[in-house]
Amino acid sequence: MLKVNLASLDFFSKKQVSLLNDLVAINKQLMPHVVAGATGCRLEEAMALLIFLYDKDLADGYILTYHSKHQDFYFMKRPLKEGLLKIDSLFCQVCEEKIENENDLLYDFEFVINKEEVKFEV
Amino acid sequence: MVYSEGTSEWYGPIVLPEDEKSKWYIKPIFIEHWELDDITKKPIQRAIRWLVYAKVTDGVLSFHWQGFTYSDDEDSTKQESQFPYWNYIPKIIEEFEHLIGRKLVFPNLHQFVLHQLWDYYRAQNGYTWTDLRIRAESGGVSLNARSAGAGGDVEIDVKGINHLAHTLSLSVVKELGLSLEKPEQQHLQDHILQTIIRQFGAKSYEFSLECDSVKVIKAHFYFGMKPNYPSPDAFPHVNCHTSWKSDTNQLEFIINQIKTLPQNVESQPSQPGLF
Repeated sequence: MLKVNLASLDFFSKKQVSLLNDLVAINKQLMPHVVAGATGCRLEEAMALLIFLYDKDLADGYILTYHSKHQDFYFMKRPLKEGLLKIDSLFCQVCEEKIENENDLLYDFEFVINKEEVKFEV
Repeated sequence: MVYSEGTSEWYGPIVLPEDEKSKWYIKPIFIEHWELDDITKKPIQRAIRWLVYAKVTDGVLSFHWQGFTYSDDEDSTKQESQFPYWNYIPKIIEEFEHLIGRKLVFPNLHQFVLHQLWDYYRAQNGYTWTDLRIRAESGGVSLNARSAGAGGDVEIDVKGINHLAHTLSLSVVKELGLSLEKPEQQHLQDHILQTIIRQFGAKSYEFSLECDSVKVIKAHFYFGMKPNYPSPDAFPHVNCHTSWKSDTNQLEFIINQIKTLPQNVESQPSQPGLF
């Protein structure tokens, strides 16, 4: 069991840390809105937590790329450190269309906890 | 604005005799719309006057509007689409901020609904909480489910969130070879349902709440989980079932609850709230 101290993220209350532990016990694929919904923290606070975990090498980070025509499903997931692909090489595998314009793209993040058992504390 | 089309600017304040503590402002916005002319049967362009209302009370500012369908090009007069209000409302709010010279803060709607209201009312005697719809995304899976009976659609009924939780709970029981009494089975099903709603990345959630058959609230809460996306998830807002209970009554309930319910999490705005 790896214990992670979140004292430096002072916007998380004890109650929220407890809810966060409940979340990661069953779901280790964390998008900012997943953390926000489960703990009640704000979206930017969830993102701060995930960047903190990524920085501490406790989570692997990914950029999710969505096509604006179907925003519920991403069509590409790339490691954060690899950055974005050039627009001219993008093809949406969901609707099988070539992406013509970068305005047709939307992005989100996912961080996957890479430790078997993690317990957060303050 | 009453006797002519008006211009796209804020009109007001207007004070209603039945509510002298609130001030209302109205802004008409003109939306191009194509429809078939009754006589010529050819597409003709008209303007829809869409009204956005701002209600200002002590410490709280709420914006109100109604959705509609329209045709944004000549070729789609027979297939109207939903008007993308999410492309307009955030800009209107920004404009209002400039007008009043204050920075507004959205309430934390997901904390309010999924934790504050949820923790208090789901277990409260006399209250009936009904899950109606969830839109969620997690781990590459997108979920869009209505509760059984909510849409009156056979296919949707089969895909209801209660049905999903029921099926999963039966599967778990069967796989583990468990023998559960009915209350235990129901507890497991409820727990799975709550996991789907609270821990699977809800982007929006619809529920109703009644107290001894008295209607309290029936609304779809959009949590604003995808800022800058061209979708209803771009900003926090509430779609009230106004035929069930008026939106101003439901808003009153929401504001009262935000002000009075116990706070389990310390993350509230220190500036005037906004809906």
